[in-house]
Amino acid sequence: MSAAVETNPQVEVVSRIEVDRSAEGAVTIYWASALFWLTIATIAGLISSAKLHSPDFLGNIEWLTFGRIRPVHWDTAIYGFGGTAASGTLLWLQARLCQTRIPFPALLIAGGVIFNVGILLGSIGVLMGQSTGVETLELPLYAMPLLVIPYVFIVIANFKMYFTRKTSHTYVSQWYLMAVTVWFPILVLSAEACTNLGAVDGVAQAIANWWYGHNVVGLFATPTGIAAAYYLIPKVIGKPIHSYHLSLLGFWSNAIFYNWAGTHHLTGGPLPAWTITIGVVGSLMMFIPVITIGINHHMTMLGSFHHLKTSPTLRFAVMGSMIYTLSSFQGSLESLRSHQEITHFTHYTIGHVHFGMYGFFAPLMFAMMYYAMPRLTGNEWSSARLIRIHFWCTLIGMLVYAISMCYAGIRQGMMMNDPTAPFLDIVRFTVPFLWIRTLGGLILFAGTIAFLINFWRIVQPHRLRFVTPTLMTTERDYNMLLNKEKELEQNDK
Amino acid sequence: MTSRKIGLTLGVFLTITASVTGLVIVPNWQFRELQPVKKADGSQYPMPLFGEQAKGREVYIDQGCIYCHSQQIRMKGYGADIRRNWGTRRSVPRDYIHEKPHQLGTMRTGPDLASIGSRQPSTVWHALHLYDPQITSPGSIMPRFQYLYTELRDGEALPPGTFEADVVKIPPQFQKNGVTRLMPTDRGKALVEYLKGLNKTFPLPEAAQ
Amino acid sequence: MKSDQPNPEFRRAPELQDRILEMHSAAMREMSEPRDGIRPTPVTFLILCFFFTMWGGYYIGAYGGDWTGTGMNEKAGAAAPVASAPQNPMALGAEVYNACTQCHQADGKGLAGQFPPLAASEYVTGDERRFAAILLNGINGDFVVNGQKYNSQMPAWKDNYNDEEIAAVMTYVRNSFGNKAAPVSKQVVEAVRKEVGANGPWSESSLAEFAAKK
Repeated sequence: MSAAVETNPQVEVVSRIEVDRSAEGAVTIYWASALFWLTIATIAGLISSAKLHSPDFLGNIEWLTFGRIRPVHWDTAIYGFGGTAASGTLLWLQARLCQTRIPFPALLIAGGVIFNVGILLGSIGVLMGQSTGVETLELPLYAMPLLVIPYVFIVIANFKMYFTRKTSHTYVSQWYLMAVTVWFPILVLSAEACTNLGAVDGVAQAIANWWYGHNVVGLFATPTGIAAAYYLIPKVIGKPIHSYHLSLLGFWSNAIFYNWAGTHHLTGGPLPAWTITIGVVGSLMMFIPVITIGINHHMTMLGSFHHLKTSPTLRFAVMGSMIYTLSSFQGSLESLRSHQEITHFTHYTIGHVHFGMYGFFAPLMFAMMYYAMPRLTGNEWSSARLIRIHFWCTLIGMLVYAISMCYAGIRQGMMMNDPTAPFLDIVRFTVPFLWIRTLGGLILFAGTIAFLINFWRIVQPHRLRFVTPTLMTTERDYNMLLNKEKELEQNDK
Repeated sequence: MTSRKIGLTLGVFLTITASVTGLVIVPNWQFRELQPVKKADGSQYPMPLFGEQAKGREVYIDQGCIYCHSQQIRMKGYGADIRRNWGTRRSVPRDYIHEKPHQLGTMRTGPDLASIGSRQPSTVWHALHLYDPQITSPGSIMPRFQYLYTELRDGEALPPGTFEADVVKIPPQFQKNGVTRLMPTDRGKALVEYLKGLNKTFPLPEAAQ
Repeated sequence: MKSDQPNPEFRRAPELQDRILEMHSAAMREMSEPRDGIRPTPVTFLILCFFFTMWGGYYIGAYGGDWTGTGMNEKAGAAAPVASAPQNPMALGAEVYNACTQCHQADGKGLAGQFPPLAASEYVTGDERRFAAILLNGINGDFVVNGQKYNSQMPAWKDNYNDEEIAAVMTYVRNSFGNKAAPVSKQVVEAVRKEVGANGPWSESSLAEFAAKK
């Protein structure tokens, strides 16, 4: 019974160590792939971004034309980075919270390899011009089984852990993890059936496409991110999460409303009015879960902000949860018809997507990695400076990107709605902002490189061993902490 | 205990099935009655694409035009789509009954193309614009699709199997490296045929709303 | 294996325990697994949720259109917006001219050898009936402007623009790019549309025939 576990810290530590040891191979391979694909996606994003302000950059190479490198950017970001980072999180978090070992780790490791092969083949297919032409589902059909099969392993592993858990209580993160486990396969299979397999066509297919396009963020990335925040924030600061009742309200309202929001991507298009109306209501009602989750995360943090100074995990987790609140508010308002009239079809949408994905989801995945990797490998992060660089580059680069794109998008939309503005003038107006976007992307890339170096060092077997945690303190702070510890030790004696 | 676990699983399963039913299955069922209409000249609208145009659509998809060009017109008074002459009426579900995969698009980094064929029927214009957008649209950020064209220098013979009629002359001030004429490849020709065929101006009754 | 029992291997080698625990110092130092707090939900927030839900119901009810597959207007039975009041022809003409810049360019000079200029063109500043006829039906094939030969297609604009808009863009083009000619009235376009509006695109000869008829 769990009471024994909770009251006996020694035993809890042993159980943790066992869980982490069983998870080491599978989770590390998923997270290492996540970083690999994040790098690829960032490079592909930078190329696409540069091509928009300088169309002759790498011009006349058909493989790298904007219309091909751009889907490769998004697919490697959402499946390559998002899929693998979330899979690692699903496995490790579920194992930790169920206090069970990860089942069949060898199969999961094999799954990780297959998944990577799938993304690689799919991306090359898109670059060769075999894209299916359905946004977010561009990867050619032959790559899809390679992505689905590994995910089936993860689903089974998750169900197995959840139904054989050793704890009596289901923590809120687990609800989200189980929800993702159920949602994602249904999501992918029904979307593939409706689009690339041709069950429906025309406008119904467009709706299915955007139902998926929105839900792959809303029912896959977002719940994983929220689960990570729900785990990491109370874990690092050692306080219980603010309110169980709010968790419950937040989870179920999220589950009910998010599903319906996708059609706002086609506002004004050839859709029956009622489908868009439902999309708008679904998006606006997201205020309920977002506020609920916001209260829960931020109220838990209240009074513990000083931990942000030293804990890398907490910095990324709090950045993620704060931007979750902001970007969700932005997204809800964006769905309104009067707002869409201006910002639909503009760079505003691109700004919003990156604000959410790189401001909320990615930092929470980074936080997971910063927290779990030392436990999985038995090594510590080698450099606090690199962590600092990673954090500030992520925050600043993402803000530069999102603010420039959202501002440019609003102006672009207003000009487009003014029929006297020649179209080429609008294009010329956006070009400086597209340059700023490339700058933002470069800053993000610098952060990614810093993280890559750190990650590369931590997975080296027993090369660098530290027994103290890597804290983001200056040398002075560190010495002060050390002295304080010595003082306390002497007092104890 | 177990009932709770099953309750959670079942609950989240139901939320997603509800939305896929409501947003995909029901609209698809509502669209079942949409059939092509007869035009005055006896032809039907919309017509499924075949031949060159169908091939051109493949090129449109494989070049990823959708990431910058939409193919949907918003109604009068909502945005300026119609006043910008991107179309003469709003687009409606019947316009798209043969589209598989759909190419509605959600970005307008470039102009909407729903009815590009009605406002730009010139093969030459499309060829010049695809070969180098700066010729027709100075300041454009569209990529050059040079690889869809064979460049011909002054006096150079046509590639075998091509016809003089398809040659496109480059305006003198844009001639570079002695390239004076262009011969579209099969794919380039097909893409232009597809673009010229894009026309959603036929006044469908439900589009009058 | 029960969770409150350490791994048997671990128990069998007590001398290894310290080393193993040191290896897992990260797991040692961490806080216990997170728990749920039980603060009550703020009542004001519940009231807020209530209003959100009310709004959602209202919005669905008010903007559902007619709930059919072809009901495109969110307000059931709403009529299409009516045409706006007459505008200054030069301003309206400049707006419409944005559709012409693809070929004739923003400076009205066209593209040498491909698309004829509008600046200093006899077809623009000359007979307004003939100019209106070109705009309404378009042109297909060989065409000579200012002594230079062109071979291209010009679209028919009759479905895209009403008489007022076509008259306005004619006025605009006749008084821009260095051109100077009398403004064109809506009635001229209306008459030409009535006469030849049902025809296909012009060729050079059929256009000349039409212009000569009068």
